[in-house]
Amino acid sequence: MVTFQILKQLSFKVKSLVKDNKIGEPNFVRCIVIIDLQNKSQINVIKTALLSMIQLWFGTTTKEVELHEIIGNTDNNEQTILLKTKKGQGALLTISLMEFEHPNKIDLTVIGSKGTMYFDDSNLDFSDKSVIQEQK
Amino acid sequence: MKKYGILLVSGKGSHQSGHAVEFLKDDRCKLIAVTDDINIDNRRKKLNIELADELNIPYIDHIEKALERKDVDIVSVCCEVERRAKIIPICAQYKKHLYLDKPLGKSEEDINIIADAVNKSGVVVSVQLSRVDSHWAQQAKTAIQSGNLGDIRSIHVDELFAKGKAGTILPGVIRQEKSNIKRYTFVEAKAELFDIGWYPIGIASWLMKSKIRKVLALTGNYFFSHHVKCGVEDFGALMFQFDNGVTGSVAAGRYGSMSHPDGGRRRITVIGSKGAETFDPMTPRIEVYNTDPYFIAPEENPSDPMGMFGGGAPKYDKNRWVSLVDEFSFSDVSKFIDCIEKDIRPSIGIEEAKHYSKVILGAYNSAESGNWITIKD
Repeated sequence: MVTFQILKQLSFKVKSLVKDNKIGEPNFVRCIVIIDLQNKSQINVIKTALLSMIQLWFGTTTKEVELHEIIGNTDNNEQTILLKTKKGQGALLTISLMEFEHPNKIDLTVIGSKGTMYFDDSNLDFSDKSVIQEQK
Repeated sequence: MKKYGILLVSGKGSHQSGHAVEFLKDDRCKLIAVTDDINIDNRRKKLNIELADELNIPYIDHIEKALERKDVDIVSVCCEVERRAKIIPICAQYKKHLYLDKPLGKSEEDINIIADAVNKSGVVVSVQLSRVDSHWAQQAKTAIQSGNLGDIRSIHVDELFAKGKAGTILPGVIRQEKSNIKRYTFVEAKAELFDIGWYPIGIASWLMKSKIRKVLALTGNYFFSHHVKCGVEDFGALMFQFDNGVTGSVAAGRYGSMSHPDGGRRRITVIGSKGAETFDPMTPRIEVYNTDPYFIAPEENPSDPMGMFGGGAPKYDKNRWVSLVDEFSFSDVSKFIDCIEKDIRPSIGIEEAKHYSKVILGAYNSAESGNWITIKD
């Protein structure tokens, strides 16, 4: 699977905190990602990587997703996905492409049964040099 | 200077205590009495009398008698949502200005009864606790109006209350939503999408100056055993589309007092063709770390375990984050009085309240069926 260094680090660290029971059962993920024009070609890779991360944190497989609905605009440069698993966990993921130079941003909240994690960064590297190939 | 006489419907165990304080702060207002329906249960009556005693004003146990008083100009209605379709039309008949608790009613039928009664009366109506006058909502409005963000593509608003003792939910609970809910209000818990969802749905719709036309939603029991016991959700999430084509999403709920360094996540993200911006009452902020004692989750207060009405106050406040602008420096009450005096329509009047309430009910329908629901006028 293709992903990015920053997403791999984020995915690993959140999973490790979940495993250490820092937030209890992870129940909901709210994630808004802004991608700049230079990374336009990577938008689907980023989306797939984020959805995989969410399922990894939830401990679910694609088969256990019972609701996966997308709403977007007519210019096809923005999507919001509402996802629900059979275990009742949910996620709202928004990916928006800026048609000009703009910092790559992520605003992530992982909400668990006893606590919450927040991650907010405005300097993400989604360039080709940060792409990595992961084994599934 | 004219003093507006304020009649309070329902007392403690509701938002009324907070409103009474706000009315008292405004020099233009004078509290007259607490009142309620004659046929309330003993617990409600006791809570009403407690507030009247605390404010040193009379309790009138017959609402019509209280409404007949010539010194009453404004009625603040905070009775349980299940009783509003009975109480609000009675108040509207007496042509008093109305300051109403959110949401409007428990069902579409109730919402229409209330809206019809209020519209017939011709009085000034404000539905309170809207957040639209908050500094972060006003900043978002300014940014949108400036054109700096370009054409707005989407808006995303979160309101999560860091209150209550989370982590009490038992493993394996999966919420199955039921849209034919008969009761939203309990001592131990409240339907949180219903109650807290009001804020972000209202902010999103108000900022977009458009009605939400279709909605897809989920609800969850993620944190509290009290909510499971009462059969209500502690969390809800929606995505939606407005009449003007803009899309949006909302996350709302109560996620426990330890889940945030302040009162909870309140955030607006506006994405446009020329940029994206986030508005948050705690951004920018000063962070203070010192030897002072810090917040510890309070013991559960059986009469208010979720901390809805000030119950279970902590020994030490959360004091690490200090926002540059006081988070709640705005007053819905003062804005309401301004509207009466200047004959201005309140930002959140009966039509807006009717719409937001219908969106919430539509969200429950969607969460039950898993389908998009169209919101009708």
